[in-house]
Amino acid sequence: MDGHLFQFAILFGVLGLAAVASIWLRLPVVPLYILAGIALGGLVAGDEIVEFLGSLGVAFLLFTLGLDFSLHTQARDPARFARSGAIDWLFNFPTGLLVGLALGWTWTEALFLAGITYMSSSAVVSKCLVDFGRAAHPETETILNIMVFEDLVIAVYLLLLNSLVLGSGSGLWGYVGGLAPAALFVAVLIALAWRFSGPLGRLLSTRSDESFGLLLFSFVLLVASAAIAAGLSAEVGAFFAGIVIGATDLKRRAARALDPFLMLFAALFFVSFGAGIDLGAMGAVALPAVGLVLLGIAAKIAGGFLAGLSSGHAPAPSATIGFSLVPKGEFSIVIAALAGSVARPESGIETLTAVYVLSLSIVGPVLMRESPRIWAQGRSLVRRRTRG
Amino acid sequence: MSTRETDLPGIGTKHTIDLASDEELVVVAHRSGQWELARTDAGGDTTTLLHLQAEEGAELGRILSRGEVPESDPHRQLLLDEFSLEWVPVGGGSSLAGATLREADIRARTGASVIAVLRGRESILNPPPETSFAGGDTLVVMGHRDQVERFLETFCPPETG
Repeated sequence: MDGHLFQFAILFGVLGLAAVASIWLRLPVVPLYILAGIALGGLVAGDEIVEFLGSLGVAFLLFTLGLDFSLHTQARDPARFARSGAIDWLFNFPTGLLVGLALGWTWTEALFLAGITYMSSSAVVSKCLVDFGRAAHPETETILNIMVFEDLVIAVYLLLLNSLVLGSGSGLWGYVGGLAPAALFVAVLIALAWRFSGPLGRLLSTRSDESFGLLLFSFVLLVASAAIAAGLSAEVGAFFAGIVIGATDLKRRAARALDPFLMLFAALFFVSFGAGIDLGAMGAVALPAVGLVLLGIAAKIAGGFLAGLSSGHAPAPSATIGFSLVPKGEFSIVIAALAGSVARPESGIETLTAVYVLSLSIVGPVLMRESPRIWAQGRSLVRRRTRG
Repeated sequence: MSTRETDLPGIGTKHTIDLASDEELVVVAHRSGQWELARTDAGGDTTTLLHLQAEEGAELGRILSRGEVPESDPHRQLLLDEFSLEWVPVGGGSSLAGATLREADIRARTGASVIAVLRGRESILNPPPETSFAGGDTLVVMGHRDQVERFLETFCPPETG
């Protein structure tokens, strides 16, 4: 017990300093937490309490993302929403798939990598958009539309991937059997959001903030465990729980109640991800990692740029959209953790993802911040060339 | 003039007002409670004008909505032209601090009426004569404009020094 108190004193101290450093460096705090995890290594790695609190953190994080998931705005211009989202998918999903197959991986492993290269980090991107003062910009709507589209796709993707993993080797019926409990789970939750958001809201909305917070925690963890029972991951369950609560009028209160816990526990999630990175194994994946990082950045920028143009933005804001889709984070880590339990260890998928997520969570925000300057410089360079 | 409302998932809600000048005024209500005001010019460039804390935004809203007097209601207009309703804080140095409503003899001296006393989170509506005032209270005073002005001159002299 005493040992744990001291351990957490050090841990929170280091995380606090990392958060201060993020303000100095004008970077989001996520990559600094991961770096802190790498630095702390043995103090954190394999510690059950840190890992458990971290898993609560990622569940709360995905719950909050689910809360904000509403198709209210997107339904107004579904064609534009679908077009920009589809372009982003076309550029980034096949990237991971092809790299995985080129590395000689199985289809399942390559599909995991496809999800990892596809998902941008909603948490990092929306934080950066606010910090860089772009919330009011018109292109921000398109960026967030693409994020919502990614969330929609990833929910279906995780369901299908799940059935692929559970039912592998037992033919078509095996796949269907693997899909059934998960599909049932989603159907029940959609029904809950659709038909019973009223009674559920009344049940949860007690006057005291204390009982509300406790009942909400219980609800999120209950849905997360139901998701595990259905063969899905706890994170996916928490995400759906967020969608259900987001459909009630408790949305804001829920976000407020979770916020302080989210801040602490999500930090522990990123730290234990960092602590789990095997520095020794990095050498073996160095070459594919550099290739994947460069390809990943290029694909996100190109896809975002075209998605921007197709949504009627001028070239400069379209470039900003491209740069803004680069940051990676929570979703890629969650998919990598799922992959780790299934993929062959020799594929190195976990180490590869670690390098990839860490690089893009640093490079992405910097590209985002500097995008107007990069665009202006690039254009004047092209002009000089064409004149000379 | 038209207003559009858009969700910004993870950030908050965006309200866009088309202005007569071919510009747009963008108001972002952040989930954190803060407000951001920005202007999009005719060329499509967006500049952030202001960041406001929650209570600053609420105060701005109060000021802007106060000017909204529907001209179609002549009775209400007349009432607002002739009568005045003031929220008056009682300073520690005011002669009202420590006095009861009866002792202060407000109605006879100024013609204005105190219709409510706001103290912390409680409010005393239609205060009885034995209600005593304390520094920090806020009085809601009603009367003709000149009566309310007389009230302010009598009980709230401008701070000196």
